[in-house]
Amino acid sequence: MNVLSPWVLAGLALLIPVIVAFLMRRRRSVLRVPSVLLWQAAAVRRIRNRRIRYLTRLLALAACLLAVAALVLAAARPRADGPGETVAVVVDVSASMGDGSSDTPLARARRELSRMLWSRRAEDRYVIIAAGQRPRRLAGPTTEGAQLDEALERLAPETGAADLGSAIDLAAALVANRPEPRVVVLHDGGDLAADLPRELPEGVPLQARRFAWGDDGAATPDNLGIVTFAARRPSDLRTEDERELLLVVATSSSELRRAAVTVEAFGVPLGRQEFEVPAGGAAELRLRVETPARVLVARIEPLDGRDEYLTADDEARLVQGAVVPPRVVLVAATDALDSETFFAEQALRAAGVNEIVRATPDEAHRVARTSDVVVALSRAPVSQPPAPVLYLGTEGGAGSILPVRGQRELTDEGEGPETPTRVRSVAANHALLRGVDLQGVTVERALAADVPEGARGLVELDGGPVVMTGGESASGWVYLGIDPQRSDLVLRVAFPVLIANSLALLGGATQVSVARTVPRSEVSLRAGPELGATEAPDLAWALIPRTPSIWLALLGAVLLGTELFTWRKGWTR
Amino acid sequence: MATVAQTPEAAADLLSEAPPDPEASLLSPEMGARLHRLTLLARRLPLAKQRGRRRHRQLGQGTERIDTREYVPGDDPRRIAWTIYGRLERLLTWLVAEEAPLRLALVVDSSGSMGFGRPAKLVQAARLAAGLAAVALASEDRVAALSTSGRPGEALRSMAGRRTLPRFLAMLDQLAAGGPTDLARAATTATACAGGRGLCVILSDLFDPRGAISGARALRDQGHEVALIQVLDPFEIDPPELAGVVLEDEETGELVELHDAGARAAYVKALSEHFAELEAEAAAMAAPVMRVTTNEPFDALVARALTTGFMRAGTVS
Repeated sequence: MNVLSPWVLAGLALLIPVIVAFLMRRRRSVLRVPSVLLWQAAAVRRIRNRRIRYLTRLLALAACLLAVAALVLAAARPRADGPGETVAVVVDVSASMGDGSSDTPLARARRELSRMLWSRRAEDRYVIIAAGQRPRRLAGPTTEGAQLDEALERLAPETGAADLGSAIDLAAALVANRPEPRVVVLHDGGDLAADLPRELPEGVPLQARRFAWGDDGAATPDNLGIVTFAARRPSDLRTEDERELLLVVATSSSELRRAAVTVEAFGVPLGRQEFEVPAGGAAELRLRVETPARVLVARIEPLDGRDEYLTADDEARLVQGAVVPPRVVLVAATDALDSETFFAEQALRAAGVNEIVRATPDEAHRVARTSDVVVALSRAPVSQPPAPVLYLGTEGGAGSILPVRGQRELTDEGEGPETPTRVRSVAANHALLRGVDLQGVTVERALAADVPEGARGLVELDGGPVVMTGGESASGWVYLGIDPQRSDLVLRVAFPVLIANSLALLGGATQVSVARTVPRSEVSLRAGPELGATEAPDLAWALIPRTPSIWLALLGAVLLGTELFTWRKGWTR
Repeated sequence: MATVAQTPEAAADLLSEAPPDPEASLLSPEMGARLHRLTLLARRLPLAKQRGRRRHRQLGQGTERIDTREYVPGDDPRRIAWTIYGRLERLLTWLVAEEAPLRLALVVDSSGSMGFGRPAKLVQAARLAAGLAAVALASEDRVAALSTSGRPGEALRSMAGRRTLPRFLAMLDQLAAGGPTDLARAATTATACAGGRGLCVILSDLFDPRGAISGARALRDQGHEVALIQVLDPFEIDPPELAGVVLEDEETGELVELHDAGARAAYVKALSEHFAELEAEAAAMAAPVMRVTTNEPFDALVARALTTGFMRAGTVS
């Protein structure tokens, strides 16, 4: 152990006047009497015998000396030898963590972080990362308490979901190769990132503490929120300004909610629709408006008088983008119009695709142009086309250009909770899934695959990843492993939005504009899955920092207080 | 219990010839000779195997004639009242009372607190015990003595006769103060040493009132008469102001730190309450209490006992 301010140790000279004071103090004379029985009425205190009296005085002197020495040592700021630990704290600041007031998950996470900082040792380095839509490093790695306290103050909630995976990657990168690294995640489990748990560098343990609603017995607050807001040109449009608006409104309430949605442009109401949202569910709405405005605002208003927990998800702003959709080369095994081809065409047209060219897998590479988007259904093209490809339930095979490997069929074989086709996690922040609500979707069959290097898994079922994307420009691709013929996805608002997002991602333009909204998991305030991390230690007891200075100062103060108390009581005179 | 002179003149002589030196031997020969003229009084006299000089209420084999009855064949011819026969020509037999000694048990508190003062309280208590033993032995009573230390050699079984007095004096002279007080147990042991019911005198400072009273009560329940002699130092009766002083108990070593003011007043009040409690307890047992101080001359004590009739119920102070 060494001290940061060794000159303060000169204060140990104070021990001398303490000893002198004890030696010079007034001593009471002792008189032997036959019995003290009758003198007890006039007694200040009684002592068993001289030996105990002597021992008491000796202890008082020792306590006083120890108190002074402890206070002086504390002022000298001792610190233990050793490098200390390096802790990266990832704090979930997604919308579902609340606004940080009262007993919201964010407030509890802040308190936990505050306890961690309070109880840290002087040599410990801390990193604080706010896990929002993009991870932000707020402080560290540092030992400076002021920086960490400032970072703690800067923890503010965001309006979207948290990308915990990226935040954990950042945290692990910051603490790797440092002494005693570990990553602590304070979250509500609301992020459905597909690629959790992360593979952390060796020697970097991951600990987590979840602060979800209901964990401490508190009821989940009432909340309504827009999770999807999209606009498209209807197929039967009468004027060029006509738009069909697609909205999905979800709730966290445990009872049926009544609300109304209003769509405005430049502050002028264009339409209003009242609706009901089932308890813990979502309602899909379709409105037709006619406006030349490119910016539309949808706002929901509760009609049942309940308080709204989150305000960020009550309004969605839609900016209609380019309206020049790409030409689509639809690759089907046959020319026959089966259900798969039908739904694909419907979705493509709903996304604003005007020109669809059909081709077989053998001729797709010759038909496709660089400005096209190839949509492969059950079979992939035999040669790489000069355009990006959307694989929609495509099966690979020998000589296939399908970029994913390790395909395996997932089927819903039972009604138990262990079904492999249940949606496990969704990377809701990715542009491909913007406005796509997959919660509650029924999947009877899907083709999961291994995520290739350089690609990113976006949707994971219990059996494996089924939505992923990779590549760039003409070699870009999107893989949708959910079988359109054996899922209700194609009947939901999410499907055309997903197709539109895919076309926008691959081809750069679509006639379906999708607003950036709060993900369903944030609106419903439901706890997501565990991170696959060990439980972080409970610091509820950590009322005292682990720094030697504090302990010494505390010891000195207690001893000095005891000394003064006993002196006033006359026990040590 | 009390010592009384057989005649008022003897008491006056005793007062005028008392030794003035408190540090003198326990009992000088002159004082012993004077005490031989005194007799202990006891309200009850239990029967004993030994012969004594005290007349018992029962008829027996003594020497004092108390009545006559008609002669019955078989009566001892030596008891026939011939003088009455000469006058009345009737054969009568003298009735004589039984004569028994008084059993006296002396319990001397030799705890640490009795070593206080100059002379020590123990010396005054031993002197009083020696005087009582001298009176009793001169009256052919039986005497047993015991100190509370419980050490071998500090207890003497019941003895009689003037020749045994030196042994009592030697035993009392060797007493040394020390150790705790257990008067209750000591009193029980003393009566066992005495060999039967009789008179038990407890000489102590009685700063263990519960032990003394419980011991006295146990003795009375066994049929003994009990008397308490409280020996105190003048310091204990009228202490100076001891504000801010630490007092150490001679017996237990316990320390008491006094207030900076009002300690004496509190002590005096506690002392008067202690006396009142002790006297009330003693009165309930019909046990007289005699309070003496160490600076009180021995002859003055004897005179106080003579003039106040110590054996009467109540306190003599």
